[in-house]
Amino acid sequence: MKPFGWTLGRVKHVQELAGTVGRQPGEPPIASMGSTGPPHVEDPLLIRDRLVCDGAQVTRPSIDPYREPVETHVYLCGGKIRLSMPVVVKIRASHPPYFSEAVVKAAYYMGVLADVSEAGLENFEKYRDGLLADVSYAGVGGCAGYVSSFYGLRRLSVPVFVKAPPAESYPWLKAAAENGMSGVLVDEELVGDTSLEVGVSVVDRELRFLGLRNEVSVLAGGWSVRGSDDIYKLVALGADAVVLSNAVEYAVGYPDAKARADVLRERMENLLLGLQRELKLLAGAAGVSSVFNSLVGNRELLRAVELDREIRLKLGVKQAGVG
Amino acid sequence: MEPRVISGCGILGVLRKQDAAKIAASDAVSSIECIRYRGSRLGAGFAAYNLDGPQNHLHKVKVFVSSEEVLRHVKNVLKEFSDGGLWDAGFDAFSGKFMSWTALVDASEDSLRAAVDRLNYELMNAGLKGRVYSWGRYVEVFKGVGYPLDVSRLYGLVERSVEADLWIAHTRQPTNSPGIYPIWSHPFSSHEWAIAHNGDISSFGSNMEFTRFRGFRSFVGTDSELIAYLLDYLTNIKHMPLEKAAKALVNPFEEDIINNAADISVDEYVAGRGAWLDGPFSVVAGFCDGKDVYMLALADRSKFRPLVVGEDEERFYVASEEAEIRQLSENARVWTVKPGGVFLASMKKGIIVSGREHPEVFYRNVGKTTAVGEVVDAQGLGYSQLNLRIRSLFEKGLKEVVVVNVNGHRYLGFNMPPGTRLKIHGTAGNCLANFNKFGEIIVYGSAQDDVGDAMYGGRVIIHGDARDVVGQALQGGEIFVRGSVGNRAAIQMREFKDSRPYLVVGGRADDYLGEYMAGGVVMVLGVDSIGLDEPLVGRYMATGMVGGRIYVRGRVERWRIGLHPPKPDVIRYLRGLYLDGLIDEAVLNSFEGLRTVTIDDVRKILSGEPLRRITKLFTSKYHKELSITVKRLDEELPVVEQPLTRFFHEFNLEKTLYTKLLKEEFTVVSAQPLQPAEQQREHQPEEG
Repeated sequence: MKPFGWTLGRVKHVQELAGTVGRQPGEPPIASMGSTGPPHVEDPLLIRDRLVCDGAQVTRPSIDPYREPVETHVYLCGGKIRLSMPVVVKIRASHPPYFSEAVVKAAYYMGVLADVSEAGLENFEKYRDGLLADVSYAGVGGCAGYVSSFYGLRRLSVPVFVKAPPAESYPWLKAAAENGMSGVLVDEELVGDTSLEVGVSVVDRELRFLGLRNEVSVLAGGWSVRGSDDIYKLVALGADAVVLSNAVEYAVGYPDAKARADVLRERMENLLLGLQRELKLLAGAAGVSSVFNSLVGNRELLRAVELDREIRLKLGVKQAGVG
Repeated sequence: MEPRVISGCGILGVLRKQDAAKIAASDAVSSIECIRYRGSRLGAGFAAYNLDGPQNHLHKVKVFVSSEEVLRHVKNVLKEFSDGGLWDAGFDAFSGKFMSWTALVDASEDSLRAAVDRLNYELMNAGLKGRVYSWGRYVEVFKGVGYPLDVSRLYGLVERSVEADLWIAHTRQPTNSPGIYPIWSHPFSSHEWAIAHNGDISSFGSNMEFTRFRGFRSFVGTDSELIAYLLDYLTNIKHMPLEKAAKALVNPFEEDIINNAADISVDEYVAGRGAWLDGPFSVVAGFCDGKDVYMLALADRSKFRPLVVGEDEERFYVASEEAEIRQLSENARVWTVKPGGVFLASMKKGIIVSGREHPEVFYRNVGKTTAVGEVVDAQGLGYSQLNLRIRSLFEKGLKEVVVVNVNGHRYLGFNMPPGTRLKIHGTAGNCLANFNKFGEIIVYGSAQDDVGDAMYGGRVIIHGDARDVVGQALQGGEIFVRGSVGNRAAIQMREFKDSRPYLVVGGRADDYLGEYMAGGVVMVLGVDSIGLDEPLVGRYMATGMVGGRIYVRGRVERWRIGLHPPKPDVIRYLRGLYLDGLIDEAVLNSFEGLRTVTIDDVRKILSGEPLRRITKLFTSKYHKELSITVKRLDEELPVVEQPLTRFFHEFNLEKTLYTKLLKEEFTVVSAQPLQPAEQQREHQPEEG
């Protein structure tokens, strides 16, 4: 039983990118013009299914990322951390070592962050500059830490993220930043009072209002992130990088006790490569050649279709066909 | 009513040199009007800068107001924020329901900045009741609805003999606003900055999010206004040096930033994230700091919009089309701004940043040429009239038509009958020789953008330069350019069994040379720069190339050819291999020292498992292997001899140079021949 929002088609697609099924790992399928997805073809299940991407047009041409550069890198925490693409993968406490090791390795190789805060740092210390771990490991050096409440913040030598559920407002951001917070991780797997989309947009806006947005990074995501379209939209709503959890499990075929660790790692690398290529295609289709500069928080590149006005205003996204 | 021609906007900047006379408004008007077809009735404008204005101790504040009531409110707010006083200078124009009202205000920059922000915020929220559109000591904007000539008449610029050290001008094809009110016209101004812009930036939303919490609360909703705000914010509020702000605004590639080739550090790039411009733009901007007057031009890094600059004895120029410059100066040296290029000049310092490398070597000014015998005079003719005149002469059976005083006339050399020749004296406009099959077209001067698009026969010989997108989808015949070519030359060039096209360039070429190329031969000779250690191509050469051959004199660095994954991504992968004991530290270090890691580097240094694994970062199912070799040109005589001989003949180049060139090393790029069918099976995943 997959969580709400996930369909069989979605699972198959990430498995194809990973090479778990199919014959073209890491290769986004390019079919034709037009949409096969929500809200018009498939049912919209999540808020972001009612957000459509504003494409390039004649005065703002699209970019073919196979022949021209579309930069997907993002810098976090004022430049202290560089990701090759706006992606973080999450390891759960329940994951067996053969799985988590493969995922952490692949994340490291492919230049994204792995969130091991629930699983611990024990087996992954050598990859620490690609890890987000519990702040108690900060003494080890290298990795980014996290705390679940900003009251626990201390000035540390490593970037420190505060984990928080999606919320309608974050009144503590200013105080936390003054206490040394370098990022916020909006984790939908902590129970919040609103959707992931609203949580992301609110954090982004509040940080901008405080003049802190380019110092304090925003990570966001969880079980509901299904692929590059979700990553793209959440980035446009204000996330610097998006956390994948269930998507990773489905893509590599977890649990698959028979799969060797290096096969899982290879699948995971393929998944990330495929997601990066899809992000380039999406950004290129909007005429964006630099995700970090031009997509993060760029709500102008989204339009809402049949979305409740109140939510739309919280997201800061215009209605399709209106403005 | 004349038919509306859909085109791109046109921009212009003219800056005088210190010892030259001030520039009359009539010059700015005549120059921007010569590309009238780029604009529309929906907006035009001018900005004038004078360092020595009689009232420069006061701010000149110009406001569009829609009613007496609005004017009263504007006066009250300005009074409230002015320290020394406010002088009502009356109305200077009426345009599309708005009156343009001017005041001279004795106020500090800071308090006036607050007043302008409040006024614009209130007037916008009240429903477009008015707008402060110009408020500096040295700058004055004149803008309205209409063609540039209409707007100039509105303000009486020529009639009042207005003069300036620097003029910025714009003619508009609106894309992001209705354009029916003057508040949407260019130039957009913020304090001493005024900008005119041609483009449609994709970073608009990000730039907006960046700006709105940094002291700017009111927006008319176009990307162009944001560019003025960003320049004002970076230079006046953040005190970033002008040159640095300009180089950052064009959003340099990450690889240039980390290789210290962009004059901006990673920290600065990150701190200003959201301010940098993405998507298509060419911008001309003026600025005055009270000591000097500056003219700035910016081109986007994909070079999706035209931008040329020029210099003569008296002035510097920035333009969308060379014709605008030639309208004022026959002798100016004109060159193309490179992709992502910045041009900056000041009245007192001259050229500070030239917009590209070695314009004096690579760009050719043919100068005024004369023609004898019967000629068609293009002066005063629109491009349609001129083309009809030329066609009627060919229809009468003439084999050769000579046209003089050509200046930006478009679409010349269409539908020429077999055995005919067209000689063009002057600057050939955009889309020269498009779809040409039979004609021989000789340009004694330069040609603007899009020469020989989809040409499938005939010849084009250009004695000066050609600008961007030369020989797109060229499939027959030959194009010879004595000078240089711009961005995206020979893209999608192809050949057929009995038709192999040639593009031969005497100077150099910018980025994306031969992108998607499928056939034909391109040669870039650099005949004026032998001995100069300067590459003859930009970057991303031959990306997506599937056929044909490109010859570039000299050893072209591998990173300039094709598209490569970002170096930090590759290094990270290598670091992983190192951590897992699959490569040793020395190998990792050898990669760290490279400017860009190319597929050739990893194939040379790695083998086995590490090579197999990292290759996926460089290839995809759309990846096509290129063959890159270095040869002496005389080794390739069967391919190059004939076109090269003709090139030397056409331009009357010396035999000794020809002999010398044949002994030079050339980089030869071609797509590898297709592998036999049985080797082309689909890639099998490792774990079956």
